[in-house]
Amino acid sequence: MSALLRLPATRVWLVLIAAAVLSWTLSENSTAVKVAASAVVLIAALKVRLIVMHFMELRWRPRPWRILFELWILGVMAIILGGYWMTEL
Amino acid sequence: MRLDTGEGVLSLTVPVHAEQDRLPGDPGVWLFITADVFVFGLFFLLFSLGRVAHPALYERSRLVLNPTLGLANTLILLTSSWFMVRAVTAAREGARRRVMRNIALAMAVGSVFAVTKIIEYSAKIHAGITMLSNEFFTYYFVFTGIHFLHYIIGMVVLMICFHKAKTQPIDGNYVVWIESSGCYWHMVDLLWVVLFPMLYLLRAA
Repeated sequence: MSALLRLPATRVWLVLIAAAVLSWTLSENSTAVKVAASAVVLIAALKVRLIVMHFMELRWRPRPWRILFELWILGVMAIILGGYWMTEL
Repeated sequence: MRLDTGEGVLSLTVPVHAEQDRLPGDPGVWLFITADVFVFGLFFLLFSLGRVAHPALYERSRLVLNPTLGLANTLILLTSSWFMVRAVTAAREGARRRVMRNIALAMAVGSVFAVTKIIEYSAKIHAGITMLSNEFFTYYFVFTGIHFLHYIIGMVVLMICFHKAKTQPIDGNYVVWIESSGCYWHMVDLLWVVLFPMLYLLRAA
């Protein structure tokens, strides 16, 4: 078990699981709604980045591909957060 | 580098953490993955613009979704992806049994996604909610439906990977195959990681 925990992929997986549960808890229980919703989107960005860099292994690959995917993450987060902050109920 | 893995002395052709000048798997698969994530980027833009125009409708509709099922689906895909990472590592080490075991686990865990998704869709349809109900649900059904199609293709690809591992040598060709399949499977995962908060968790203030 401890050998399993030492593997980088296992640690990445544990962080991803914890981040998913944290997002869900924040969204369900938080009173500071706007801050919590923004945190949820930023946590999603972190998760996507971990998947792209570690699971898809772009971390060790040619720089242009890394830049392209970093830009995609930034763009998607800007779209979702921008739309969210422009909106008032 | 040579390793004794207990499954025979094997040659490690692909160092796992060295800087490399090529992408994992087939470059064509990466072009497809890139095009696909950018198409989903457009979906996210459409949704965001719709939400800006009709915030009350989007919030009312969002409240009908079950975030616990959404979370369950996230955990399922992340765990399935983790088994796939382990399968790719095993393939690079030429460890056939470990490749097969990890792909089987990736498929077993991944198959639960279909169950929760069907439960979710049928609950909506029983409640009289369809893709024609309103704009939010049109996007909900279209985006998660297209994502589900990607998931089904991914499960078929995993089955092919398993079959190849069983019947063919675990060589350089197989490593390219499983790396490509793994990257595709992780893409299914990463798209869900954005869809889940956007559809289920973006609570209006």
